[in-house]
Amino acid sequence: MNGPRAGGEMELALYLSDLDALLHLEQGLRNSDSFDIPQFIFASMFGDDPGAQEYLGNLVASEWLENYLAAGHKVSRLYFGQEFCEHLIPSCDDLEKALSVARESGLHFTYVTGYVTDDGLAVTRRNLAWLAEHSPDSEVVVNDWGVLAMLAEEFPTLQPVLGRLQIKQQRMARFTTKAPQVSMRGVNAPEADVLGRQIAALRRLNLSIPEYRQRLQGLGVKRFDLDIVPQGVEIPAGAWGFGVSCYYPWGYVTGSRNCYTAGMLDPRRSYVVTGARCPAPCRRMNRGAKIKHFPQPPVQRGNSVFIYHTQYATPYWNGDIPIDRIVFEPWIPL
Amino acid sequence: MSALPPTQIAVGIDGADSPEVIRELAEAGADEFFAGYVPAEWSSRYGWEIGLNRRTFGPDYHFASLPDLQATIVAAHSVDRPVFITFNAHDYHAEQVPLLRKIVLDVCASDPDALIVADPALIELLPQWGVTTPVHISIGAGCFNAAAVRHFCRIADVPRVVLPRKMALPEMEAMIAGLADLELDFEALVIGYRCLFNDEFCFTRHSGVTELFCGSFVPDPDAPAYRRPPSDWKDVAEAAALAPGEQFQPGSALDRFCRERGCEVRPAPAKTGAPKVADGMDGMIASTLFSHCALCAIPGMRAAGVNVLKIPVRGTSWQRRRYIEVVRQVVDHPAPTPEFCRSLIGSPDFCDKLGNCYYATESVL
Repeated sequence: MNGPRAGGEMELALYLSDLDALLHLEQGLRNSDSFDIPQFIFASMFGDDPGAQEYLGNLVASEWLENYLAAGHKVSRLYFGQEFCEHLIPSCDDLEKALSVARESGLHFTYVTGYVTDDGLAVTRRNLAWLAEHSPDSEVVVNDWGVLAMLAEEFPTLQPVLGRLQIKQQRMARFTTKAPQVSMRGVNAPEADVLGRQIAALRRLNLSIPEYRQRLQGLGVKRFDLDIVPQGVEIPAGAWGFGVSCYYPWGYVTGSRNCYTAGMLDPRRSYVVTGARCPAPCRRMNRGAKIKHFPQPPVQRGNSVFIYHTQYATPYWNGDIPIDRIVFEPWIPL
Repeated sequence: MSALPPTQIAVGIDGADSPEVIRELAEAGADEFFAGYVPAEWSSRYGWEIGLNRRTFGPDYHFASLPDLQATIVAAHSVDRPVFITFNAHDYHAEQVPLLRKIVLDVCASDPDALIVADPALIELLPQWGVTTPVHISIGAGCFNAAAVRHFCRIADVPRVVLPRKMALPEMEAMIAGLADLELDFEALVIGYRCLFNDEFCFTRHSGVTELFCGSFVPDPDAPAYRRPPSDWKDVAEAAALAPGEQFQPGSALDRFCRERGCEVRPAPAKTGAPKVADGMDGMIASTLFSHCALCAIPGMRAAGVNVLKIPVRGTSWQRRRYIEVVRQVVDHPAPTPEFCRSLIGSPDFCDKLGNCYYATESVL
């Protein structure tokens, strides 16, 4: 993979989804040369755990970060919060501690929210009220239309950022090295032309539609967050007047509200949503299906599936795509 | 329990369904129909995988001919059944908008009763194109709370919301209660294939000719979990790497780490999943027909305020008639018990198997 570009215009944020991760940040960021560690050590430490890929990925990414910082970049922002599961929304106490860490470290603060039921919206409202009082110019990542509407109506000083779950570009995790096959049944056009137009379409966003952008801007959105995708993304210079972030090294691919890890304690939860409070076994253990997948196996964590980005990520930070913020994930943020 | 409002049953149709089939399905108990429309001017440009809707598997799931769609709408209206058309792709983009606009206006000129839409950008565009056809908010829009629904109601004429598949019944009730002033219809899916992942937040590719991501992702109820490693695992790995030959003895850094982390964790035993019983149909046969089933949850869903039950399948009319029949019997029963609902499936083996239920049945009754 190419090294990061030198220069100072790219903002660098660290993303921690919970207080425990934040308190162990130093360990998470510490680089260790993975090539100096014999394979049998990894095999002994992680055994058959399908999540082992995450730890190796984190190790490689910490080296990327070290090189990036060495090129003159500085961490200037902390992302904190939960995108994927409303059972894991931080408490107000944890939010307060995270904000304190950010302030003590001289970092700007971005609070991350997920998609939520009405119960989850009430908890989110509680946290946003606290944030609006104690750090009124903070950013808030929104992945739910109800949360965005609530921000605009009740907490107008907070700055909404359109979250990556609201950017529904296909993640194309299966097709990182070759184009996918297309179904030509009943299609009256050359296959190569159809595939070319599909790839072009998959590089575009609904944000390219001016009327939609106008709505978002009317709700106070000035930035959107992207997942990196193998097919890339078509954003014009100037990004329609928005700031644009991308998450690295972990991209979200798919997920659910039923949860394979929660199913450890109540097997029904692997398949359906029960409505009961989840004891969050995902905080202590990993449970993932084994999937044969190429070229990089996805990793299931809690209720979601992630992919570790490889060479195809380079255009997102070398200036080819008008990204102005990298959100670095020392761990999968769940 | 107070009297419940009337409950409608919505059924999927496609280009193979003649006006005669529409009348048969209506007679069998279908109250409403919904369909996709993908004309050749779209499919010859983008193929099937980049869809006008989320049935991106090929030509068999849609109407491809506008006259056929018009004839179907006329046939449905002749038996007082509305028809809703899906334009519920997750997202469209600017280059597609001129063609999308033409297709939407062609459809709206055919007098459908609503459009089912997921992309907030299209919801934004419809009023600006002069479209007066009402909008049903699709599952793909991901409305899990009342405030999200209100957001879209401020933009378009929205008489109905389709609830995400992954909601608990009390969550449905809370959302619906929070929207009581808007007099909306609330629609939920009740039978047929239900993916493990959330439709609205699944960003994998769906194609009729490549393997689906979810198809290779089958959870094993007996699979173990693994404790998360301690945060200092890099220290241990580095220490072990400094003296690799010394790790193969009791008390080494690696040995201590593995012992302290512990072995894999076994899941709690499933309360269901009873062994096959002699009576009733084999569970696998029932599974090939019903796939997933919400019959037992219907009373709770109706009590929560769901008033439209969707049968989201296409295909042969006998199969859909069977689905309509079982859903209709539950809807028309004055007090359907779980035992009654299970008797309609006719396979205790199917009903006992973990993962075949569409929803948890903790209800709001």
